[in-house]
Amino acid sequence: MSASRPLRPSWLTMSVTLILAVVTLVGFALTERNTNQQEEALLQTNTNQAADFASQSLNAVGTLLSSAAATVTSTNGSPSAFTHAEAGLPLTIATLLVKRTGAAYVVTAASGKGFHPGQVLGGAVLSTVQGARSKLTTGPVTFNGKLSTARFALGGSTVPAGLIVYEQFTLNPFTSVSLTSGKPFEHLRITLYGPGPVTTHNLLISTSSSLPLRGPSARASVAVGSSEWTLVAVARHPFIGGFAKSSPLILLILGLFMALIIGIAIEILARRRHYAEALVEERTRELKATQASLVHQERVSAVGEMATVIGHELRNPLGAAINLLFLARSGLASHDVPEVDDYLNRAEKETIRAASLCEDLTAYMRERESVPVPLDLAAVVAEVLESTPPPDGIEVVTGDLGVVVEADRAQLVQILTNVIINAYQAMPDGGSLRLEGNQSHGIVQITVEDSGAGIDPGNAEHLLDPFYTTKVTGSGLGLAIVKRFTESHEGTVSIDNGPGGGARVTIRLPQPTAKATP
Amino acid sequence: MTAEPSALVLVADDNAGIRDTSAAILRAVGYTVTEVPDGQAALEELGQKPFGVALLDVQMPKRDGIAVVEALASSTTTPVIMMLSAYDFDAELRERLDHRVYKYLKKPVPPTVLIDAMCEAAALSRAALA
Repeated sequence: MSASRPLRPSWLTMSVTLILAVVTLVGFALTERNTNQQEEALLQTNTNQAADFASQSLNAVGTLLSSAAATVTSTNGSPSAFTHAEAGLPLTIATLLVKRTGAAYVVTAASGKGFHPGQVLGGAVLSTVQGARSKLTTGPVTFNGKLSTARFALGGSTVPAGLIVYEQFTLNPFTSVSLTSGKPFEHLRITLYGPGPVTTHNLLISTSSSLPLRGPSARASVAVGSSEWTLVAVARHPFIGGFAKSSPLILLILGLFMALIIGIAIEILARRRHYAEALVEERTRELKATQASLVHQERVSAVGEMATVIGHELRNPLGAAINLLFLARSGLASHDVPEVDDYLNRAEKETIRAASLCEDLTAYMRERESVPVPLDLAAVVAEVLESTPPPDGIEVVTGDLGVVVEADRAQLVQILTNVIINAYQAMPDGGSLRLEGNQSHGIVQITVEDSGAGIDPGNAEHLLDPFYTTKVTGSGLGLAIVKRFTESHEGTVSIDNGPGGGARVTIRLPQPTAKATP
Repeated sequence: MTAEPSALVLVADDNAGIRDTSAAILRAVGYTVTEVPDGQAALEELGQKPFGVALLDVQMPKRDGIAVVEALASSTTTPVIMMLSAYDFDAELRERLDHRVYKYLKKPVPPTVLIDAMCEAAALSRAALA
């Protein structure tokens, strides 16, 4: 497979994954918003219930004050009767009977810690009693960092003129009290602030030591007497349930995971498709190449068959023509006409050349399986040199040829004959031809080097092509036959220039596997 | 390149051009030549005359050169045989005929090669008769 896939995901994969991720995020946002709305609604409902409960509890103080006021009225403001009635209260609660004297407010009877008769009131207590009405009046709630104090007063028509009933209680705001230990507070963390702004300074009670409360909160007004207090609450556990609360996040994780899985699946499918397409494309290309090759081979085969038939059929007329020219020359020799004799010589040579071309053509086109047998290279070379002796002026030097080569005998003879004749023709003015053979690494290498002008390196790759020749008289098939026969032995042939500058043909053939036959 | 007058040569080739010109060359150098166009005629001639050398083309009508050689196997007196062909003589054919065929010549045969080969064959034939 030539087609390779980059590591980057496809646009389709990225688009689908992105769309799914966006849909998931939108779903997450909507679900969470809905969940939060439900949670807030439930929290608000619970907070309102808590506020109502707190309101009822705190307004109970009004009942106590009304009772005290009734006692004061029935005893016509008797301090002793008041003290007697209010005796036995916990130390955290103080109850006072206060009388206005001019602009000052003086304690006439006191029950509880921190106050005594005759005491002139000031501060938060003073402001509380100053605002006292016939209805339960709440004064400031103060928190000094340790304890909170809530203040209440009742005056007006509920008591004789000039008198006011006052009550305050002090507590650690972070200590559990009956108000916040039962329903509906069991599901909430709450903080109750007195009248005015929601700050730590007017904190009354809190079920959490860490203020302000964290997380989604709700507020509700607590009506205490004539004033509005504030209750702030957060849920101890989600009212809609832990799973429902987590469901948006679970949905988000699942959605993103699904987007990732779908993206991976799409990418895998896309890559498989891409691979399949590339494979089909490659197979199609191969099939087309094979088809073209088959068509070419068929054409070459037809041409080859025709060339073979023509080559054979021409042998007889060419043979007859050679014979006739020989006879004609024999008959004319006695006439001593040099020009005609020369013409006949040339005609004979040309005819022999035509016959040689037929020989090359049929040799090149012949379809024959190689039948390799172990051969003594030196013996084969000697046989070739005997049938193809060097022309005058050419010396043949044979180097080490003690090699056994496994090859088709006739084809090896033809290979060596063609290469040697080629070398002879490359040295028209004489020279030397060197033949060597050796074997190593499973290859027998035969080198034939001449001392001619050498080859043009630019033509080297074409010299082995059929019908390519740089010679005036060559058929262009000699080296093509060498190449074909060498390749039929699964060997190679190459041509370059040797160290001496002449052409060097190197033939590489498989190593023999058996003993040589002579 | 001279032949003994007694050397009788049979040239069998269906190609008239080759047959006639080869015979003419051989006659020119002194051989007595009989020409036939096919294997059947060659066998008939060989049965009638004591040929010293037979030049047989492989591919001929009626009976080819190989059939002629094989038919002569039972004959008591056989000429020296040279085979002629436009095709390669493959190894199998050589193996079958090697002990009966003196030489294989591939067409086109240069006249000088033909004359030299005929000279050697005639000498062999004379030696066999002697």
